[in-house]
Amino acid sequence: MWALRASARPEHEVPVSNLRNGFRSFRVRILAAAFACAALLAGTGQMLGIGIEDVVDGGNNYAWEQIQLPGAVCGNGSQYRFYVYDNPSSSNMLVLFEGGGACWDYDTCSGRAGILGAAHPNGIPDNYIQEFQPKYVSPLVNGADPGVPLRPKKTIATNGFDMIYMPYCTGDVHVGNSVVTYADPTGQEPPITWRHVGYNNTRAALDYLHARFPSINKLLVSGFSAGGVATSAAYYQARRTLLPAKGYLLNDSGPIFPAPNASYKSRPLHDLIKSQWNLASLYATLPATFNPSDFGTINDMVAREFPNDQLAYTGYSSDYNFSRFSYERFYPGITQAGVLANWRADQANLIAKLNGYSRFSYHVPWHRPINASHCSSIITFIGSHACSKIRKKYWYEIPWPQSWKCTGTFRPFETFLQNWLANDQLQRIVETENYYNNEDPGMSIVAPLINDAIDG
Amino acid sequence: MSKRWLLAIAVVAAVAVALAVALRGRRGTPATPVAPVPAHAGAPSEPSPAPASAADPEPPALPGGFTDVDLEQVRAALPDNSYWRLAAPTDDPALLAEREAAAARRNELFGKVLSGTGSDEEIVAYFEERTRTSNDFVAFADHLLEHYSDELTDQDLTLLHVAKRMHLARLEEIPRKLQEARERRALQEDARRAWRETEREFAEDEPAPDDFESAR
Repeated sequence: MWALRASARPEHEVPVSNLRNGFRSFRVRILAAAFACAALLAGTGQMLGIGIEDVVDGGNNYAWEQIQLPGAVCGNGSQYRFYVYDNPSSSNMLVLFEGGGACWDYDTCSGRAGILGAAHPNGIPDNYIQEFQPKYVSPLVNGADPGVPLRPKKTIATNGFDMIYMPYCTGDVHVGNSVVTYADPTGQEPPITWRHVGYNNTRAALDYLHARFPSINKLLVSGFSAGGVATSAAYYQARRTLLPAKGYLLNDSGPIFPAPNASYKSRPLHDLIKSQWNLASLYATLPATFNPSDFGTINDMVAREFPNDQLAYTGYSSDYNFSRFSYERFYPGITQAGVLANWRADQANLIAKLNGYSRFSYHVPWHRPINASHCSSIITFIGSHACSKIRKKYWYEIPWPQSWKCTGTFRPFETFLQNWLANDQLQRIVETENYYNNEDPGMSIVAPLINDAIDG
Repeated sequence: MSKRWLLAIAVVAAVAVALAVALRGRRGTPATPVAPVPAHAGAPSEPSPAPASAADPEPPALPGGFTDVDLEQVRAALPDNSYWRLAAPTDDPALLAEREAAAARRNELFGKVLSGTGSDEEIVAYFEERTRTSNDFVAFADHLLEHYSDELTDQDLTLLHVAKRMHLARLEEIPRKLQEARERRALQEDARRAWRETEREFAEDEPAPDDFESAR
């Protein structure tokens, strides 16, 4: 839900007064000088090998193809488009489902709700892949985490994969199956006929991809936010259609939480989308390991149907974006603290479920002030690390400007990805409460700039 | 050697060890991959590590170079930059409330732009505001890159460059987005006019209550 950034105040912020040069102590200068020497020595070797491709410090320069399949349409009825980059030297593929909210009424589907509605209410423009969002949103697609211009690229485990970018314009997490007329509650505008036809689009794209890529080695199906939901919901179809040698599922911040009954906090959301997107019409396309009375069993289903695949969930415990969609509409008057409490309870249930499967990894950091802690794999991996054991510093440890200390495994997202995707290793960390990122001065000063760029 | 001297030596040694530990973690630079990832406590048994595993690096122990940035100096150099109003770190409840209200106003305009229901003035106002903000944020990033690059860590520099690149990309798109928004508005006006006409005709065709009664 890139387009859904909440304008919530972070739970903790660093005041300007704390960021002045009062910290500029002799000690820090000595350390900086020592490290400058070390960095200079270490960097010399790296700088020698820079090629033209290495100076792309964000985005990508792939030769994308735009695919328009007959019958594949956006919510407003316009042509659905998706994008393929076929790397001739690769037999590995990433299928990435774009996020961007969800919709179920006039305001959220028409665009009038702004960032609180579904993305692309007016369809996917021609050559959309060259636009700002698809270019910058996913280091996974770009095969590199953005870096500093004129420095070597920081390539990641998806580097060199064939890339499939699936834009999002149906407001139904890519898997709806209904056509609905939504009337304007103010009576001022004509009704809209909205096509929640993500399932049809996804199926058509998968069939196309199978015909074009009959032999896939590694298939990574991923997506962020609404695209993360699609990752879990459509993995069964993707896996059975594309028939890769090895399958990988990475759901970034689109969790389908267990909700077997009304006592579970996500149950009202599941009930709403079940009816609005006519999901019951699709149950027959899924195996019996999925129990339609508990959408959370989609996680069991993928684990049981594909026991040799590597599966993973990532998302923040303080996600204040997807969580708002999950609860605000259904719990009137709920506070930010209430939303996050629900989220954490639901997420704990999910993690407990994933622990029952030996190939289900998870990487769950606590908080990042980018995009209201929503999505670990978007824009940059900076701040997406997770620490298995983190605590406040003791009285005898230097408490400024960072008062948190990781005493366990400190795992950046790129390390998680490398170990999980490239080496088939189980990777599991759920970070406990901390505000390390908020106390990182760089993050505090610059994250709002990034947030503004992705807002609206 | 007296106990006092032994104590002094012990204290000096402890400080040296603490300094060495601090130095190892400076700047949070991930270590070169050298070893497989250790098993996470409490996790089920993990598969055998492959040789190319990335080692989990040492956690960063000291902050990034932004501690050396004097924001008051930056503010003096860029006093009218909207960064201070919209984005600078603050605990001021009034400013935070103002930001929340501004974000809500901007989202309302954005909704009108997206749905084609805004006036031309509202469309222009939205994109003018976006242009102003992105220009200001690029200027803010440029100022830091120009004056503090030597002090900033790679992570800080990356964040600044990412933010700058994203705002430059947005600025590049604005003329086209503005044009598209105006076209959308025109289409929505046509659709609204046609719908109201249909509604009016439908209402006229409806039998009046008296007619309905007499027909019975």
